[in-house]
Amino acid sequence: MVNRWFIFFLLTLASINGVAQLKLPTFDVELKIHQNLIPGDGQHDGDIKFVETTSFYGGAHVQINQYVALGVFYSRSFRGAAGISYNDGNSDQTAEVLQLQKGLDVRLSTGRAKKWRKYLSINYSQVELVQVNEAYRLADKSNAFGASLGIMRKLGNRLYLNVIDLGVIVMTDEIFWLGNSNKVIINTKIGLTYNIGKRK
Amino acid sequence: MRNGKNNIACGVLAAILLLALSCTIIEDGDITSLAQYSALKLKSIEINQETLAGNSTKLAVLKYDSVVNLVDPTTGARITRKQRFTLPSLGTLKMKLRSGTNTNAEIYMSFKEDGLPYTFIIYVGDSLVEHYSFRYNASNKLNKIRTRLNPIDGRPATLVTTDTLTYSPSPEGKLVSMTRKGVGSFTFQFGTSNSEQTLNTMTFLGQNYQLYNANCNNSSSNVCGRLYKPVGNSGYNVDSENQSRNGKIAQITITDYRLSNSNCDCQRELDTYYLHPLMILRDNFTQGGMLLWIYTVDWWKPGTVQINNQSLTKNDVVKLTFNYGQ
Repeated sequence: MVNRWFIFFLLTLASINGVAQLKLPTFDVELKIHQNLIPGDGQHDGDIKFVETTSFYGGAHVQINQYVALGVFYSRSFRGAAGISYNDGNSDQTAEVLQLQKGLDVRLSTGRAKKWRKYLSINYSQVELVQVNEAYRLADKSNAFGASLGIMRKLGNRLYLNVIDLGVIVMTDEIFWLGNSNKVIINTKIGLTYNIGKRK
Repeated sequence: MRNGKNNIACGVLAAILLLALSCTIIEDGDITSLAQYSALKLKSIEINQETLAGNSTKLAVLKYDSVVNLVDPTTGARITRKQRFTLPSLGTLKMKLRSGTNTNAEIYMSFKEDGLPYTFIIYVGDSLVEHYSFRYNASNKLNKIRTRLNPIDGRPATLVTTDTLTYSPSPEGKLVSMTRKGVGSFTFQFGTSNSEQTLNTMTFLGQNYQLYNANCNNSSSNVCGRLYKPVGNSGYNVDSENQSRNGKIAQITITDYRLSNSNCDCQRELDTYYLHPLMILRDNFTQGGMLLWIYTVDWWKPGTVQINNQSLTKNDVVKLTFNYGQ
């Protein structure tokens, strides 16, 4: 089933192409390590105290101009754990957790700088969280909106190092196995961004 | 030419993005709602014994979990669910059957239409060796627990007890007292933790029992604690910890705690535990955690024989791990 948001992105891309007189705009692709943390209550036995995952993050952006870029991203965990409260919060059990985030973002960045480039990213995503137990898996998903602040360092004509990217996303729906208060995801990213197309 | 290559690159990128955005980590068999999770069934119980005399792991496996429609003619209760588990011989290490049975057996459980337990029976073949029944008052509070041990066919039962539980009037409905027919009454002192009634002390047949949170750090004693039975100048201990995961009982750990920085409880023989239905049905009862402590009078047999100069290098531990599935 075709993702309707992706169709929107393709239409936007086509429009940009049209406006740019069929010239290929500047793309960039990014590859990062993405760490997520969902804090929980964990006051009573069996409650989730926290969920944390580490993911591979990939994204691509179309530069509208030197300040604004539209993009998509996909982040899938390769490890993750949930801390489950035991002994009234004094001890933890752990369970394996899988996380997927995919969505769209708008990146607003400072203009071309010699070395450092700061940016603000505003994003919409769909978050999927799965708790893996021995005999069953608990899975749920939610839409989410968020923002992050980051800084890149120019390593070459096309290559940037994303030194740090700190962000928060808020889920619109409850993940049923997380509990009512667990809707905020704190995240951080570090990685590389590479420009394709028109040289900067 | 250059525009052609760029268009191909754009198309490939679009295809990869389309593939990525349509991916999901949620699989067909995943539980995706609270209702589905609540419907999970107990599939097996792992009984793990780690003792000074050796280790053992046994697995009680679900044979069937059936919907039925039966009426008990004596009580009028409607029984709507039956489960049967295999129960391998538990051996002679630590956890045993109270009837003395040490062979492969099966556990049968029945439940009323409101989900409350009705009967718990241990069979060896066709022979009923242990029978526990649970009955409820007009307010649906557990008010009678009957135990019958009959390990030998054709012979009288070796033990029959009938316990009557009394509660304060509704809406409070808290346990007040318990009487064992023909034997005596339990006297309780209760406390509160997280708005739950908890057991502080109990007295039965002149013997006092005190419940502590040793090794638990401020936990509710319904979840974790140590029962202390003063004897002479010292006493006997049994530790019990209950772990829940996602609202279902995941593990019960019972420890014969013999290692201590001081006052090592080493100079008596090791304790024995008996498999009791409350260990399996703990979360089926509103106050199951507290009831499990009260019934230590039945499932905990402290070792009483003094053994001088005994060197104990670890604690004896029994763990029941509950595995659920769809």
